[in-house]
Amino acid sequence: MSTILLPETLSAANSKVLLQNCKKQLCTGALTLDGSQLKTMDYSADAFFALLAELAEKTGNRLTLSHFNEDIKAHLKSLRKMDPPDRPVKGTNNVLEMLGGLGFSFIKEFVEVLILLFMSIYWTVFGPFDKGKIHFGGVTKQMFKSGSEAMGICFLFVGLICLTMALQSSVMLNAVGGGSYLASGLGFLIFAEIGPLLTTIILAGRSGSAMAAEIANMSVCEEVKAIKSMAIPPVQYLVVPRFIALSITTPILSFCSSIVGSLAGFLIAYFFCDISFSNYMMGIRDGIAPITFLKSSVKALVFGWIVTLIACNKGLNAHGGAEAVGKATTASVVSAICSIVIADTLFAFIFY
Amino acid sequence: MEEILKVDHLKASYGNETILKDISFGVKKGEIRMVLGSSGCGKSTLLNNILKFIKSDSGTITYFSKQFGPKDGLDSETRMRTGVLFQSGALIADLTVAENAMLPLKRSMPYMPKSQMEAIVADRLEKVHLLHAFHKYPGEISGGMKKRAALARAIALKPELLFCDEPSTGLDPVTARSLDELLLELRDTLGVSMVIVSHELESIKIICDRFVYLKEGYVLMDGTLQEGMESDDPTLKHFFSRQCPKETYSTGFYNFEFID
Ligand SMILES: Nc1ncnc2c1ncn2[C@@H]1O[C@H](COP(=O)(O)OP(=O)(O)O)[C@@H](O)[C@H]1O
Ligand SMILES: [Mg+2]
Repeated sequence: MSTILLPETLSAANSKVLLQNCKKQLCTGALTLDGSQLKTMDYSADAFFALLAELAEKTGNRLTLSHFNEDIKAHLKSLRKMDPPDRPVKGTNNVLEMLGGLGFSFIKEFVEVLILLFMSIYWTVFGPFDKGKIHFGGVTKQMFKSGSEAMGICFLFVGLICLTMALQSSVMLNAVGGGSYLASGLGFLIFAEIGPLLTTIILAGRSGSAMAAEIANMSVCEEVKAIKSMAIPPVQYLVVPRFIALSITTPILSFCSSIVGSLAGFLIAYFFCDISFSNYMMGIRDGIAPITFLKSSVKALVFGWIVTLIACNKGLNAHGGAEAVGKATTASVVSAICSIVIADTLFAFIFY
Repeated sequence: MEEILKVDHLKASYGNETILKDISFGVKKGEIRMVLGSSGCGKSTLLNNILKFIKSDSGTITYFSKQFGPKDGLDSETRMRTGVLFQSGALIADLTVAENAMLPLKRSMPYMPKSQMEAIVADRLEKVHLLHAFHKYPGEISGGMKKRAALARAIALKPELLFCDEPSTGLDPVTARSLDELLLELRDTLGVSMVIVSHELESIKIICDRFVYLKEGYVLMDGTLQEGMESDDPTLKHFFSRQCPKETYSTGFYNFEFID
């Protein structure tokens, strides 16, 4: 049986040490708290006394409060014991079920994006002939946003990466005496692979994320509902302008980036392999069949669609608050980049 | 009188949590029908279901004697005959106030020259006392102005049926009052029927013709304002007299042992 004298004020500042002492005492035996000095207490006192009361109940040791003034007594008597409601059981812990759910959501998203693709193509082709047609413009704005404004970063990335690649290949080729083949090999690689792939990956990070965030924010703020309420299909108003814009800009952007990349490659060819500009150009010409340009444009177009449609789909499906916008943005970038890489692999098998 | 909107045994849920269990009511032509209930009881959910923004579990909605099933969407014609004022206004952020109000016009009359549409929009904005914000963006105007701009957009096509989700919540008393007057004026001049969600007692007393009171997913009462105010039901009594019931605590207290 021990007694602890409580100070004049019991506050969050001094209750920690006091609580430790009281707990220690209460675990070994009965405890009396002497409140004769106690005049004021703050919010922390509720938790202080409640904790001790619960501990006393658990250990079976007696807790007595002596000489408390009437106000504090009344306050403590009205202190209620609340149990928070149980957390609702969400999802599952079963690994197989989780994998199944993951697969299901993947298939669901794939189907959604396909539907979005068909709807976009439909509205692009038939929209202008539709009776209640609406030309919301927007296409030029989107082209500017995801085309012209993205030029700098695309050129920088593709240029530098091609420069590095050229440098490394030149070292290797020079070692086996094949420096003159640099142009043809490099040219093919840049136009067929690096250009479309890198450009669209940058677009996914730059323009895809912006689209997802914009549309997700509109979904969260009821703006998409408002568009629906005016009998305007959200796909027509939100997705189609972006779809058309990226269908036009992505192949062009990818082609221009490839040119910048091959020019960067020329620097290496000139300084490290002694290839003149005309020879370099000839090498590129020999290395690339004309059909390759078409193939790479198709690739860029499809990758552009992937970026747009995944971003728009994530945006339209967002609901909740501001965190849903962030989630949609992140998810759109991740799944767009994954899908582009997967599609690129498929293209490699189909085309070459 | 004919009913231009009829909700029949509507049931709706989010996931496996059923919010609306069985809701039926009708709206007559030219009447202001209010949807009342405590916050979180599913009033916005009800509007979203009636307007078919989300799919219902069961029940039908009849607009202008055209019936829609639980999984149907509304057709464009019905959408153009109804206007919606959203709780947050929901103006499109990258369009000016005028362009926002012009969207429904562009949709329904794409052949109309822009100058003509601007004239119509100016008229609607004048009605909501917002002509001076014609060229402003939603980000540049206050919450009350946004709501009024959204109302201008909702009435751009002179709809026969107008839905409003908490039109006066978050407005200062004067603006709220002027919005109420505006709704009454719309009803009287254009004969618009309205479904209005609100818990502002002041505005309910001014504009309400008939109401439905939602509680726990059911319609607790369906009647005129007069009937509601005279009702004996404790929930309605508390609602209309702005009182809160005495709390009854279900949990126990800590048993402190005091000695002196
Ligand atoms: N998107 C949603 N997902 C899950 N539950 C929701 C969602 N929206 C609302 N709810 C729930 O539905 C209930 C009714 O919400 P709401 O219709 O917004 O109420 P109010 O009557 O205040 O407008 C609330 O309990 C809320 O938690
Ligand atoms: Mg609500």
